[in-house]
Amino acid sequence: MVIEQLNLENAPTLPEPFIEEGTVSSLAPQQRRRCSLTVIVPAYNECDSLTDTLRSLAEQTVLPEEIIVVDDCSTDGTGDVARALGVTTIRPPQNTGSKAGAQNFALTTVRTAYTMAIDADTTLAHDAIELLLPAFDKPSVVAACGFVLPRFVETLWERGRYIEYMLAFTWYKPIQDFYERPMIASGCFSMYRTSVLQALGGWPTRTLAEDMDLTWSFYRDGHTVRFIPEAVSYPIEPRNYSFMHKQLKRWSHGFMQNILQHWAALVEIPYLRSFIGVCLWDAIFASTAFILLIPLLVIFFHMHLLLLAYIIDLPIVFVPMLGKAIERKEVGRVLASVPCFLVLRLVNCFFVFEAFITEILLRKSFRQYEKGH
Amino acid sequence: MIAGLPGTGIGGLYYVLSALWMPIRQLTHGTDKTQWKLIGRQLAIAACVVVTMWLTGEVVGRMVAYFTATPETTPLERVITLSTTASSKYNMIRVAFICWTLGAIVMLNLVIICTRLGLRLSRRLRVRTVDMEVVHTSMPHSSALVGTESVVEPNG
Repeated sequence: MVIEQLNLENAPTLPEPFIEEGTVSSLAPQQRRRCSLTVIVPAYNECDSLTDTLRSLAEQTVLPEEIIVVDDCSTDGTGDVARALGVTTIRPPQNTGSKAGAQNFALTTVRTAYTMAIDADTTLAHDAIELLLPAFDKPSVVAACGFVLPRFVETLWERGRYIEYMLAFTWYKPIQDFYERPMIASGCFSMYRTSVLQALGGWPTRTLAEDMDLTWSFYRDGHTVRFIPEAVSYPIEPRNYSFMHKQLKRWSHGFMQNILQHWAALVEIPYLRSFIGVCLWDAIFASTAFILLIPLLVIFFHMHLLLLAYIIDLPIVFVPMLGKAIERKEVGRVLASVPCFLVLRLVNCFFVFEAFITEILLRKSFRQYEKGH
Repeated sequence: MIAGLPGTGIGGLYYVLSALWMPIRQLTHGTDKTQWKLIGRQLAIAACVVVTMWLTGEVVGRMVAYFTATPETTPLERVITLSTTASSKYNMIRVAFICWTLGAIVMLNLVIICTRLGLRLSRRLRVRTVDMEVVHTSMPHSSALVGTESVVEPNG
């Protein structure tokens, strides 16, 4: 369905976000460049946020050829909202059970050179697609992802996630990209070469982290993935613990499941094996120290100074994101959010530790896909 | 999604080392000259991280020393004493701590390399075993030498 037909008037939208970036193209949709791209938007009960997502797609400086909303048997009228907006809307006969399942349902119909996956609660900066496309000029590149920032930064959990993203996307990911091994092409906003994606069978459904699984599968097959920091997306992050715990559980179990799934191939991939090794080491040892070792030493051996370990690295966490915070004029927000990061990190430790015990040691795989948001 | 626990453990030092290695890799393998801007930025961040780490150790070390000093001295005396004493005495960043972290990174990479070598070795052994089985089954009553047929297991 062509973009200029989108009927965005009177459609439900969310409140104005704190973060807004870029300028809307002054050109009419008919005058803007169109690229051979299909955008797949998997949606399950997303009627509140879907309009904003589709609007941000309609306002891109380079427009996709088609937008497909996969209404995964929603019960809140998501499909009706999508249809009212004039985009291609498809509905599987029954709920596919995961985001990957819904995306795969649409992938078989894609005929364009590139496919983009975007969550139904994610909006894009107006030039995001235009900035991602040049990454594919190099034939070996099969996937490209961008910078991710929470759309709303209000609650403790959103603020904690905001710092996590700022740290990961300003410090870790550019380094990973320099070594041509970004660890994950984020599932909320990534673009793929359709032929390679289809040849691989689409998004894998064997783990709870389909984006990580897909990225590592690309590396295993000798392909390249790029991170383009200028292309920015804004997903809605979990606002409360109820949603956050589902997301953390899915992510931590997904990470361990992917380690088990890919470890034999990963050890052959330079740099990536080290990035993942360090990540796994910290996930195991830091979480053990934070939730077991330090409390025990403090309680039984009165080593109270060890409590400093929970906060002593705060300035070191803050420094890498300072440049980006100044650039985005968000220093105050970063400073106010850093304490929330400490809380989220500690909570995350429990989930990572539990996932390690369950998936790696006990070999009990957690397979229930619970939507985090 | 993001994996693991960003901002904890050996990851900090590992990424500082990775940033320091970037110019060397660029000089030896790099073709894209625009990468120098990224390298400069990441190096600057790495330098700031190192300085901040040292300063944090210094400040926290002095605070700890201040609050755990003997009560006979006045607060002013404690501050003066600390400010005129060699900083290394109070800095919480110990060389041993950095060595342990570096050791963990080296050990981790060694484990990965050993795992890789072990996997390759086991794959070769498996292929050779299958080769021998094929030769054995194709010549049940003969000791004549024939060319071997290599069979690689699908997941090998």
